[in-house]
Amino acid sequence: MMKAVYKIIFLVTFFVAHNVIADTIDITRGNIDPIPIAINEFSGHNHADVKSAENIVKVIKNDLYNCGVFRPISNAAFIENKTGVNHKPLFAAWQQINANLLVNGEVQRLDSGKLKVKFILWDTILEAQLVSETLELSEAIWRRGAHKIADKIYKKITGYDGYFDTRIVYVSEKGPYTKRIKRIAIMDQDGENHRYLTDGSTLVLTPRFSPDGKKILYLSYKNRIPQVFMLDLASGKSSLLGNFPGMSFAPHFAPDGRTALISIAQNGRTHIYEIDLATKKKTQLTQGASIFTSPSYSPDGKEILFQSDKDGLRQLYIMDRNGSNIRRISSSGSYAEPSWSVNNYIAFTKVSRDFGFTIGVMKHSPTSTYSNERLITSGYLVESPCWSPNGRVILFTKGSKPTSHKTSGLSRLHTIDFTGYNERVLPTPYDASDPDWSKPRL
Amino acid sequence: MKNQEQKAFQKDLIISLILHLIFIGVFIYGLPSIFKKVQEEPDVITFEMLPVSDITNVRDQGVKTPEPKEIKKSQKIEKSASSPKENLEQKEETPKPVEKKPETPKEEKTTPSKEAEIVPEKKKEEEVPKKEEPKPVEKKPETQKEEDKKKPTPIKKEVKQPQPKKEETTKKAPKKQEDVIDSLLANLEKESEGTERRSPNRTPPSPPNEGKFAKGNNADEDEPLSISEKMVIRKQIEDNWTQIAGNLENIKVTLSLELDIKGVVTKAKIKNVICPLGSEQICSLVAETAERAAKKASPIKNLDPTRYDIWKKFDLDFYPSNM
Repeated sequence: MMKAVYKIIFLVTFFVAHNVIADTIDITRGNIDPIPIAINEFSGHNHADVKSAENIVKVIKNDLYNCGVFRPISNAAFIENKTGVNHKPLFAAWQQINANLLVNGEVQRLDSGKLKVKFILWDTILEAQLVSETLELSEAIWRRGAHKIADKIYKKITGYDGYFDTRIVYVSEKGPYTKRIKRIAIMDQDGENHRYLTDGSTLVLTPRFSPDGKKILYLSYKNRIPQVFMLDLASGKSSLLGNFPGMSFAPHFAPDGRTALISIAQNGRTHIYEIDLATKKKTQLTQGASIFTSPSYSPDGKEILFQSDKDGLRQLYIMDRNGSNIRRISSSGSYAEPSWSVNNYIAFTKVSRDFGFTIGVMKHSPTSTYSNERLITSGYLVESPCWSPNGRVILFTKGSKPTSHKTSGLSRLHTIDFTGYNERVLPTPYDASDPDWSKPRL
Repeated sequence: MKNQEQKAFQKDLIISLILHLIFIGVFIYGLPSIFKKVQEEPDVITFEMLPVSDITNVRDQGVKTPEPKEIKKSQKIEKSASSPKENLEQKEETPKPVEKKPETPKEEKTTPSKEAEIVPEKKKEEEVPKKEEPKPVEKKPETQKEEDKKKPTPIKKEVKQPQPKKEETTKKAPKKQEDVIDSLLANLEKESEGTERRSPNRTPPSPPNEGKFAKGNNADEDEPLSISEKMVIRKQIEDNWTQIAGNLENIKVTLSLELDIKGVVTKAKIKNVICPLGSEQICSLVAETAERAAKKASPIKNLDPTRYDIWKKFDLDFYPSNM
């Protein structure tokens, strides 16, 4: 009896297995082409709503196009005429023009004066609704609303948080190379709402956002020596961070905003200090006769990344927050200005004989000293990389060869995806350098 | 006591049986079949406009097509027993005359005596005066078709005639070069399925086997999808798979696909997702991109409808690269 049962079970299992196992094909390559997306006109109830809708759609299109992940399709190619959010799209019509995604929306001005914006993101291939949200916002910040919508679309498709509702602070440069006027400037990540924070009367460098985006640390030669100042964006007032001996520079906020790192050069030595922003108490973190500079915190604030020439050429190192356990993470070449992303990638400037000035990225692994690095762009002068808040895009300075008569085009801001694709020039009124990227605004 | 012992034994037996079944199940589902040959998939350059090759993984129906008469008639040319060495010698000797044909026809006549046995060529020479010289033996009749049309064609016959009947028919010249070519090709078609008609004298191809396997000798029932078919499907899916960037290590998405006879994807279902801890969101996105790729690639082109039973259902394993 048991033998018979055993045989039956065995045969059934064999039969089932033979039929369940289907032929399998391995798919190991894909493409990284921008995804075609149709951003339809948002409907409006009156002329004012329609005008607001046009502006919002324009901002969304620019954001999605500039990030390199999407390719907006021209409205002239649309087949279906329906707009708004109260209908199901005719997917065949959108597939016909190769639109993989479709955004429909609606703008309505409320009695309170606020704008109510509703949008739906459709997947025309899978014929499914991906995102449907409604925003209520003041008309004065309609641009931020558009950026938020672009963020939602971006996150749904890429898995990364959007970075469109952010700002960039940088050093604006104007004039001939030998007589540059440098001012700290701030703008939205798409170049809008641009304004200057300093008047250009003194040399300023390395502006850095606080985590909440309300303050900026920067270096100024206001007192004829390099010192670190803090600027309050709301009031526009600057104050000296601390009256430290020697030269202080290379400031960087901690993730919690309570402390900051700076380098202080004194008696021929440069060391990294941590400053308590409330008490102004400073703690020396490095020792020795070498140069330790360009410090920045890890995303969790437990470690510090910096550059030093303690082993000869400039190399990159990581140490615990208390200054212990220093270990090197770079290999051959000259490394500088490291920046740590939220995804544990480190961007840096590297100078080598083979490639000259390059921007590279490496994946930081706690278990290994040296991580695989990739050089993603190069130029006559590329430096000062910093990360977008989602860790996907790198913003850096790209300079060209200076000449005595050249007054512009010497230094521009560029963005590039961390994969090495989609390098673009960030529009600024004049030359630009030394950027920093804020976190998304709430 | 005995009853108790028997009960205890039965209980242990059942437990043992269950454990054995689990082990067998793991063996069947979890391990690759030891009877399957690991096929090294070569890099195949696929052309979307070309039909799927029917040489790979086809079955022999066992239907023997009758040999065209031209073959028999033309076999005489090769009679000489032509041992392979002799053939090679002839081949080695003959190329020169071929090259010199337009210039020194006289010299060509001085080719080895063995070539004189190629009687049909002389007759062809009469028909085509330019072809007095013996014909070089070459193993690629297809490439010489144009030349051979103008010249006698002993080459093809010598190469392609495996049967010893050539001795009897050496004196009979082939009617036309085209027939000779056709006859050679007919022999090739013995080993593979061919439906192209290269000559009116060729035996008609067997009727198409709707829903059944095509002709062939080397079908592997364990691998129903041929390498060519896999390549065709893979290329079309990969062309439509938009990858996302990020930490995609150790992620694998298995998509189960069903197609209709026209290659339209009727069903694309996520069968399995292997996802490292903490990457659930990105795995979900990868799965979506896989589904999207399958739908965008629809209909899958260049699949033989006669083999629909084979390719109507299969799985795709997506391995997103680490960008």
